[in-house]
Amino acid sequence: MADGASNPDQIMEDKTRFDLNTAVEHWLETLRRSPEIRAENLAELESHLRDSVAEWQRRGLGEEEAFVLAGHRLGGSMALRQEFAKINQSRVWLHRGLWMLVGIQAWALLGTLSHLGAAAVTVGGLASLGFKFREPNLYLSALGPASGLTLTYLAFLAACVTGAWWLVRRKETGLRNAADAVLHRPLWVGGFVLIPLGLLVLNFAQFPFLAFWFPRAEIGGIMASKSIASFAESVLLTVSLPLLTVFLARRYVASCRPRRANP
Amino acid sequence: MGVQNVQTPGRAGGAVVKPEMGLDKPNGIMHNATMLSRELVAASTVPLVLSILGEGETYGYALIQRVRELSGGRIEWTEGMLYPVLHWMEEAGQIKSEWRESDTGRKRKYYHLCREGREALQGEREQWLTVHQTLTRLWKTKHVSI
Repeated sequence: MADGASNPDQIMEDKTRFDLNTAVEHWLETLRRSPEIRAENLAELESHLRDSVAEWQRRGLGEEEAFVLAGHRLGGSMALRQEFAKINQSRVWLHRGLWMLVGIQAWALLGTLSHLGAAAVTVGGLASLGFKFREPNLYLSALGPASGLTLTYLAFLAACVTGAWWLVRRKETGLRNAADAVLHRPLWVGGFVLIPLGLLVLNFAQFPFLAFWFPRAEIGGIMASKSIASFAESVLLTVSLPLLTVFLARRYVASCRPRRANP
Repeated sequence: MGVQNVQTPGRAGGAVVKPEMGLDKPNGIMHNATMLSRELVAASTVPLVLSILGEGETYGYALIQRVRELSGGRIEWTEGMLYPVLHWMEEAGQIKSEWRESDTGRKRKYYHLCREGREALQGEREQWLTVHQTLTRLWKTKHVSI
């Protein structure tokens, strides 16, 4: 993350006239997002910053110079976060734990959604094209639709994960506001619990749904395709997720090491 | 992380992880010979805070100003690092804080010393005076000039 608070010049660059309150608000915004610093800590830092700015102004500095100097003396946001992390460890872990829980649930939800989407698109699509899911020579004839199912599932999953990633990265404030709104309305919290449950039931209800639309002889073929596809997906994910973890972990560890002057 | 356990008289065993002032300082302010080293800055923060609060209640910014003034600018803190230390001292029961409106109309957090803090201050005094006495005796006999 960019070390915004230690770099107050950046804040000023796109402003024609310096406004102290805006500058302080920008400075606070960077730290407000960090789990290491509580609102009360931030209020105290703001009080300090304003005292310091006033003191430097009293000593003859302009408002902007006083703000830059006061911010510099207070310390960069990375250093502040590191120090405050030592006293707010429970909050840091709460923040991490929340993200882990959100991740686990989002993964399960996106998985169910992708399965439903892939089944609807592939089975429905093939059936509408006149494809017959044959009963004899079960596994061999199921291989075609199974590979179709696997590919559509992966495409759905990739689209869902990319969408979720985009939401988290680009619409962070919007998401935060939405979460804030949901958390304080019991009905919405109910919805938050019921939506995954509903999807799960819908996923399970595929069987009676299939029985209604397809002749008995084809259901066996469809189920065989789905079971092969689900095996293929599991294998792919079981291999690729640990590989992805190792790749990201290596990048992270490398970024922790101090850079050497002579490589 | 630059976390260290430092034994403080107010807290038996020193098992609490204490934030260390200035140890993560990114710039080289401390390397001037007339300035205090990082380690000394870190070690002297708690006794300084206790001693200043012993004079009466005050708030973070004024506390830093007082240290700068008393040390002739040779004890230089990265100002924001004081607050985790104050928080730690409050958790340890040495000091207490209170948000109040100041004469400027803005709110400030004022700190004052508790009984446990007074005891801690006494302990710190004894320890620092012991170091001071020992060094003074050594330097007197050996005629070291600074």
